[in-house]
Amino acid sequence: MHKTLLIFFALLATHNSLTAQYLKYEWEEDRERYDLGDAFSDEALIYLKYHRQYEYIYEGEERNLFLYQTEHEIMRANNDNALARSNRIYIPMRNAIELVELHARTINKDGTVIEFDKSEIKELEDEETGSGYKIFAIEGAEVGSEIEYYYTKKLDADYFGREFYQFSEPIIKGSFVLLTPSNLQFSFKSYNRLPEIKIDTVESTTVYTMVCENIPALREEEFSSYDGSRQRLEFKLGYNEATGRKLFQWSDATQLLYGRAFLLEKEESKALEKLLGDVKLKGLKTIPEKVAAIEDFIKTSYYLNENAPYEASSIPFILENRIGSKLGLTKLTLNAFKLVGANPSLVLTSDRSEVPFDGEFESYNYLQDYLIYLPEDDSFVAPYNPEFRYGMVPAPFTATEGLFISQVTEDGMAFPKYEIKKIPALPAADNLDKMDVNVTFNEDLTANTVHLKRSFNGYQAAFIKAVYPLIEEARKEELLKSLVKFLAADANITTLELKDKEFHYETWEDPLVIDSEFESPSFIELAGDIILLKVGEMIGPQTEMYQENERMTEVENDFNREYQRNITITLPEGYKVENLDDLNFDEKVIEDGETIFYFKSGYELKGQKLKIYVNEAYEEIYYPKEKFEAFRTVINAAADWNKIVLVMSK
Amino acid sequence: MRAYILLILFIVSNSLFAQKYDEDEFLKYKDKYPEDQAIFLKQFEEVDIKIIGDSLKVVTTNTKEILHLGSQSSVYAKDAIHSSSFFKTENIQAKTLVPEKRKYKILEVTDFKESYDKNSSVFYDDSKSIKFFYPGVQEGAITSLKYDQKIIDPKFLTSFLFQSYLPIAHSKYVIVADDGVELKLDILNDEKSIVQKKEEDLNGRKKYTFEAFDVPKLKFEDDAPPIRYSGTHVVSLVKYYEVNGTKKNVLSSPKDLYSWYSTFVDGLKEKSHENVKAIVNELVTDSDSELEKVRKIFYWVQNNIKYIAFEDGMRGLIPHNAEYVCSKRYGDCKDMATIVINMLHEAGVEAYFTWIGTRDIPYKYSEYPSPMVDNHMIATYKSDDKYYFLDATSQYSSFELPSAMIQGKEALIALDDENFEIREVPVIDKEVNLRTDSINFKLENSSIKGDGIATLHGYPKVYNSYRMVKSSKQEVDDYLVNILQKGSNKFFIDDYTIKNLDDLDTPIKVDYQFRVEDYYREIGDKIYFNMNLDRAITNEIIDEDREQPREFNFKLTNNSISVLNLPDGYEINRVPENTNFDSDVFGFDITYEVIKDKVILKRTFYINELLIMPERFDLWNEAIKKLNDAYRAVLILEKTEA
Repeated sequence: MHKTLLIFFALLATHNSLTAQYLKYEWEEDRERYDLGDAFSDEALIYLKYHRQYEYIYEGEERNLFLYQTEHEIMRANNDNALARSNRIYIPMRNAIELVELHARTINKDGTVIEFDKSEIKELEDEETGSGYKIFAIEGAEVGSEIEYYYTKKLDADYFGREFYQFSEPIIKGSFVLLTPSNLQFSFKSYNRLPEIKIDTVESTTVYTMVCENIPALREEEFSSYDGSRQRLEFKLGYNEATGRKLFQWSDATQLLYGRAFLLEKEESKALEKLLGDVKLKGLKTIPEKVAAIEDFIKTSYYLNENAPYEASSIPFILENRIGSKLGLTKLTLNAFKLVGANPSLVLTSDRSEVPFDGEFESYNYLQDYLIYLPEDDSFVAPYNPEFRYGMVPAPFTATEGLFISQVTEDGMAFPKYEIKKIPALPAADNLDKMDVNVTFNEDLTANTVHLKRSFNGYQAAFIKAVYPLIEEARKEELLKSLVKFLAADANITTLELKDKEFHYETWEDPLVIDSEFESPSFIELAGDIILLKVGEMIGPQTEMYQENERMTEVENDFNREYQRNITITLPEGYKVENLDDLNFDEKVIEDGETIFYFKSGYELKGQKLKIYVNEAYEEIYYPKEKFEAFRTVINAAADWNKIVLVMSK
Repeated sequence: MRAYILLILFIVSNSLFAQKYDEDEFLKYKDKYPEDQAIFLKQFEEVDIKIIGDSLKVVTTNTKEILHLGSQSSVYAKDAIHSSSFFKTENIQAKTLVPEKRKYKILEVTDFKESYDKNSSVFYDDSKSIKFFYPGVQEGAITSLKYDQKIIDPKFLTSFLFQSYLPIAHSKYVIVADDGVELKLDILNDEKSIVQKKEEDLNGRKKYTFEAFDVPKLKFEDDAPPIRYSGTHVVSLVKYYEVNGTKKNVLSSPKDLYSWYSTFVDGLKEKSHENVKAIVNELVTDSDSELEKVRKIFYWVQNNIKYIAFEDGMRGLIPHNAEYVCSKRYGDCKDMATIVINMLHEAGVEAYFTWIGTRDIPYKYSEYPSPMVDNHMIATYKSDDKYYFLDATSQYSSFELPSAMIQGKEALIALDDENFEIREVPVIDKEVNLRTDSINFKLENSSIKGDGIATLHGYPKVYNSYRMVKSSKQEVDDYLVNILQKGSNKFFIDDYTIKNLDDLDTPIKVDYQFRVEDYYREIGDKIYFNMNLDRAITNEIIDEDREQPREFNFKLTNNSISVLNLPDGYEINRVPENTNFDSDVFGFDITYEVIKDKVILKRTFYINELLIMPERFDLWNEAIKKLNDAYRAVLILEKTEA
């Protein structure tokens, strides 16, 4: 067993938990510097120790449950930048009652120890988010120093926890301890190869421990979820022996959320009916039509304030103040849907770009965001994301699971029912970026006139539709220009037009179309009688993954997507292209007989008209690390195509 | 006094009037500003300066009213007041006037939340944001804010900007001061004369009014200098005031500012500290020249004292002593200046406390002797006529190079308790800030392979050092690929060594081996090869709609040499033409040379301004286009007949 844990158990044995005194955490008073030899010299910052400790204890006459949370870290900074990152310590004080202990010291290369002067602690208050920090700067630190600190803070007990054990820096030794009176049982789950928790009992205290060693640094990678790939531990309070009850199950969450989101106070129902009178529902027949109209009305009238007071979840408050909390706007929307006959489910999930929802581990930490599901036509609504309309929700909430809570009625009694189900990602065809490029040459063959029609739907269009009405004229112009100038920075734009500038919810799914014409010399390279046409650049810059680093994480796309580009070039009279075959690309990945990723291009030459198509699609969000090369080949095919130069001679 | 009552009456009656909703008024504005979701009806600041006893009391009253024109103006529902120990905020009244029939319903803001300034780069800052949301924001609503700020010292009086992020119907700055208070009030950047000025005598007080109507909103552009370089504003400061016939100077000249500033650093230079002394004794020897001592001590501070900024009341102005800084091993700019000066003093070298504004601030001490001119402190060492501006916060600067952010700025140098000097920090010549890259390569099956030597001098060295010492080997690898990339993104560095990263006096040198895959095509018996592998600044075309100057961190020279070794069996068919362009802003020179079996491309370009003014944009764009033309010229190699 880990040496410090042994000491710890010895201490614990002499500690009587009935005295309701938390176990004071202590560090080694005199310790040697870590000897790493030459290992890790390529790393900027190293966590020599990374310890997290939770102690639950009943205190006071009421025997209320409190949590003493301790963090202990030892870092070595191998250069200035690492030092600048490690010498400022922020202690988050959200929900904290007090900071019980704080010790910090620096052990320099020559062995001198500089103890931290506690009078230097400063406080940053943040009433807006209710968090705030205690902060201090580490004293006397130099490059090569070991920076060490630990603190213990006392909090009202929190029953769910999450700890990451993998960073962009390596951890030499990580550890976790959770102590609890033995009537309480916690559940744990280790993710991404983090070792499992071990359980011991010392007198009337249950001790959960986990030790991990040599956790490698995790780099950010393209097409990857960073946080989702890190080693981490989730835990929750799962059982109370005193009551003999399992705690915090999905069924409990369901009861709680059903009460909050489905059930209305009298004045809420009244306010809601009044609101529905303002929505233009006349002439709308189907439930999806009505629901879409309600959604649009709510999204253009009320806005989200994430730091809103609790009252912002009440419908009358939202209607008067036009501000609502996430829960408030969800409740408003969901109940308005019900009033027009829909049978919506409430869906809770978490952002998979942070940590993906896990239906098998019942932690409320996974219940971060709300969606509404409409079984009528199997669609989702994101109630407080104004950039999305009916049928489309933020991509990080898709391709993951969620807790679906629906209302069922039996014998005139309404009650909630839950299911863990998948929230599917939209198919690639729903995120289509289409370009029609028409290219001609000017008379002296030194520049091209390019007519570009670009149309998008899906996520990229949603973003533009959401911001476009809000931004000033100059910025609108800039935004449109950027959608054209990505082809040629020196483009001299002669026409630039966004078709259909008024966005209506009924046509929200229609593509956003930008029509433009510009002139640019940048596609042509001059070589005497020869024209070199950089046709590859006519599809715009492409993501590449040329550098050969070992892939550490599985592929995770933000969303499925498709690109269709049609390029028509009118070749100058008398010229022919010498290397047309360069235009043919065909790379694909097939799984179970289905093409899930592809990049395909080809051409057709009729007289002086050269028609080229370049199609590309990604139809699967996840792909295993082991098959990464296949995915990379398709991505790099686009980047390679980007480099094609046509040689034209007389 | 009567005028004061009148003023109050005016405010009261005005707000009573606001209770009635005037739809025509709303439609008038909606018509006038069809593109805007909201406008400021009013943006007022009224400064009241009173002589009380023998000192001055300064209070500002701030009024903002936003009319919400569009249905999507909710982004303007969030507001905040900035407050600090120098500017104490009081009497906040915020509300929304929601049109209901022919009246306004009033919704008061009750929930004000104080938070630390999250945008600040300062580690600990005592200033706060008081944040709140206006309820009921919708088309036709007016959100109204009013608050007072006590300015704890009249020296902190600053400026008023007439523009904002929304159009302003009425922008007004008023100063009412007791007779005997002498002010300096200047309107800056008002080429279009939008500001009207009025002076009134009000029985024992003077009222100065500056107002502007229908002010267009600010345009935010990338790489532009801060707004006070071009935005219309009034700069104000109190020169002096008279009490009972005695004149009391506040900021009548730089001398007043200095006599105040010098109290902040009193004794910090001379006091001897044990630990500091020990370090100095170990660092310098008697045989060192004075300049050598400066070099050693400055570098020691850069290396050993980490920059962490604190802004805590008067501590924002007064440095810690050298011993404190030495034991903590960290400090802000003032602290770093102090320890440099104190250590030098210990070593028998005279250096001076120096206040300076970074290039973020457009003012000069000689024009506005006020704390609004500066935001930074450094140490200055003089040797005969040569000045060394020692800014230890610029961690990788050689001692001969001031930090880039203070180039061209006035420094206020503390010579002794009484005397000071104002001197301009030089703008460093483009020749000093040199970047070079020489490569020698051969062609191999549509790829190229070769080696290169890159060097970084002056500011390019300083700026790149931050990234090159940054972090893990992996990150340095990636960064080098990024800054040395040529040909295309299919550029790989196979091996490299970096030299002189730790030596602040010598340029950084990177020796590297590289390859670029799929760079050229061989078609028929010809190879079409573009020698311009590095197309620096090719995308720097300035948009024709840009209004503000384009700012650069420093002047620059960039030289590159590419040597192509002819493949066996090939001869040269066509060599591109040489081109050049010269101007006082920007220029380049591209020459091709064939020596035996080598083709050599030499390219140099320079940027010779920190700010490119709009009248030079055409010239700039013409030059970039010409450079891009040159970049597009292709070398043709042809197979020799066997």
